[in-house]
Amino acid sequence: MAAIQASNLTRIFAVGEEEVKALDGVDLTLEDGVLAAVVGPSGSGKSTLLALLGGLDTPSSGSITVDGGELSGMSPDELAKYRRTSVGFIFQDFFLLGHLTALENVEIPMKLAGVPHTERQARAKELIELVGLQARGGHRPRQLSGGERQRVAIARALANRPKLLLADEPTGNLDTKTGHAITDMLVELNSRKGITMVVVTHNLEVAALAKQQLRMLDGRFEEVKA
Amino acid sequence: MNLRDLFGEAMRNLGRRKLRTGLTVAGVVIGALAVVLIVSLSHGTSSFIDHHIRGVSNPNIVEAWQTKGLRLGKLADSFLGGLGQPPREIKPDNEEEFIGAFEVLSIPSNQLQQLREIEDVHTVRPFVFIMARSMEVMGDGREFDTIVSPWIQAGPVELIGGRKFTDNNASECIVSEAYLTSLGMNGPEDLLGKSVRLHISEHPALKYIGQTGADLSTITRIRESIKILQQPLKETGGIIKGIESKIRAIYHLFRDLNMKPPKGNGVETFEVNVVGVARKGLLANLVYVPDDLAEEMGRVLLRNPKLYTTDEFGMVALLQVKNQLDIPRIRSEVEKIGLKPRSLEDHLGMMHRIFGMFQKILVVFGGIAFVVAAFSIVNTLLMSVMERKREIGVLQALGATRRHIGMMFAAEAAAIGFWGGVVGTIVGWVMCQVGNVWARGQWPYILGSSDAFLPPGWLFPVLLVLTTLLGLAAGVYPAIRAARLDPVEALRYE
Repeated sequence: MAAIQASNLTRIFAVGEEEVKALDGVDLTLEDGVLAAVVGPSGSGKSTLLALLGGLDTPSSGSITVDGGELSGMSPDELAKYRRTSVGFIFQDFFLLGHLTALENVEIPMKLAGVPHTERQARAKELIELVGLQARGGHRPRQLSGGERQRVAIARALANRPKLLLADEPTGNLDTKTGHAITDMLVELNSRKGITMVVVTHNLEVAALAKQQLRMLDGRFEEVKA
Repeated sequence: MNLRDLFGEAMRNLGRRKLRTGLTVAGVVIGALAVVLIVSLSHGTSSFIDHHIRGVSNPNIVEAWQTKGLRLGKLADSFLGGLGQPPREIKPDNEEEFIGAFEVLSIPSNQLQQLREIEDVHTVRPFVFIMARSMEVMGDGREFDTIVSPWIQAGPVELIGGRKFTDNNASECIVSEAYLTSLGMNGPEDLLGKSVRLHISEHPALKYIGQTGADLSTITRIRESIKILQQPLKETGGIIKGIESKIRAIYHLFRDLNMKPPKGNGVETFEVNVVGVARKGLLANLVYVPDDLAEEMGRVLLRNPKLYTTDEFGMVALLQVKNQLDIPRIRSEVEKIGLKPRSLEDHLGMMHRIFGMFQKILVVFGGIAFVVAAFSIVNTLLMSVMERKREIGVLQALGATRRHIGMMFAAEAAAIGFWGGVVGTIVGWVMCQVGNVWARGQWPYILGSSDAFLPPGWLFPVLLVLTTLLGLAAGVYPAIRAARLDPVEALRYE
């Protein structure tokens, strides 16, 4: 069974009095545990697709089914629950909360899910170790390098054991070496833990590592390589 | 997210902008401080007066007031209600509301008898008002100002030396311990057994009546006599009867007009022995005298020998009851007789109502500070929502619901209110203590060990709940604004 199924997905934004079609009738099928890369120029609709898959946004028309559940009919609270329990986000700008330590950042999704204090502390520690930052758990984001921040963001994305990991340009703000390390980590997580991943990237080297490559242009898939 | 996490997060977020948070909390502190000081001063003053009135008033007394004739309360209502109004017509049913219709009506003898027959009423005595000029210890030569009070009107007097009265008519007195200071005495034993002179004055109005020796009742009698003499014989119920009443009127007229003026300067002196020394109260110059002696002194005021007798009892009767629990029943019996009952609780209730009204007005002023503080909280949180827009987007991406986001900001607002209340009440309490020390230094004889600022027990918990709710209410709009942010837009916000 497919993990993600999108059909005739359209997203139209109103810009002033004009309408802009960010997605124009996209069909997509992703198998469970797949690592998919979405590539394409800026404004082609990659981030919009990711927002729709992650339940941050709702389509103007069409449907998205994740693990048999239809996202487009969900209420805001149901979408929040979906994001909390089933999805992990990784952003280009990391989006860590600056006033919290690395461990505390990892704890946030678990706090929102109501995980008890001791349990979430243990889990955060375990995840920080998983991303190789055991010595940096008590540091705040400004005390960490770009690569370390992205590792914390990955640990945070994994906190509630999501089935789907959505990464938007995860190496976009990193140097080549650090970018490779992060890519390797994502590939390893995909292969070891079997988490379905959709990675939006400009980096063709990253895309080459994906089992499924999707090239977007003007809100449509131009090419799909499986 | 549980409550502990929610408030922990709220406190952490407030700590990120310490100065701004501090200034916002300061607004609530000022409001809470104003309310603490206003309520404490009002409560302290009210308690102080309550305590001292109880100290000099007999709680076992029910007053029975004449309802006919001039009543000061009605006169005051009428006067205040008539301010700025066109002149009113005087009619039989409203004439007692006009100062020009001044008429003092005594409680008639039949009503007095009915009062005496009420079950559990121990004594019925007139309300006596004495104008005392001074008190002088014989052989000392100095005069000290004084308030002479009948024993029946005395409150729960605590003696520090001597005894209470054994006879209503004894030439005795109980004096306040404050006189020991004025007289330069060391203890009650220095004053006990000494003879003192109480100089009692006449009513100042009597000086203007003339030097004939007439008093107010004489004038009334003269008017009555003249009226009888002017009356045609046929209207007197027969010639014989008419002539007889006119002769009697002429006799009374001559007797009254021939009255000799009293000796002295309108001050009469009573010599009494000090049998007790009472602990000092707010009225430090009190001298108590037995009730019969007090009535005798009271008659001097109006130079009226019939005053406080059954013929001319006065407007107010004091009913001493055995048990305070009987007061409600006795009140209703007084009403049935046609008189107006008043007890100590009525007098205190009126005072508390007046204080309560002032307190409410002042609290409204304190409330204005709260309104300003509420706007400050709204402003602070709206700024916070703007600044943390992307953070809100991140939290939404991580699975926060609208409720999570809204509650986070509401918790921050409530925390501002709560801490403002905590600091305001602590600072207020400290200022109350400082105020009490200052007030005792300013008015040591009046206040003694009493508190001018007395925060009531309910004030602090109520204020904490109030300021927290104020914060919560102020946080509603910013919380809704935060909760309704679109996650995609919020994440894009720079």
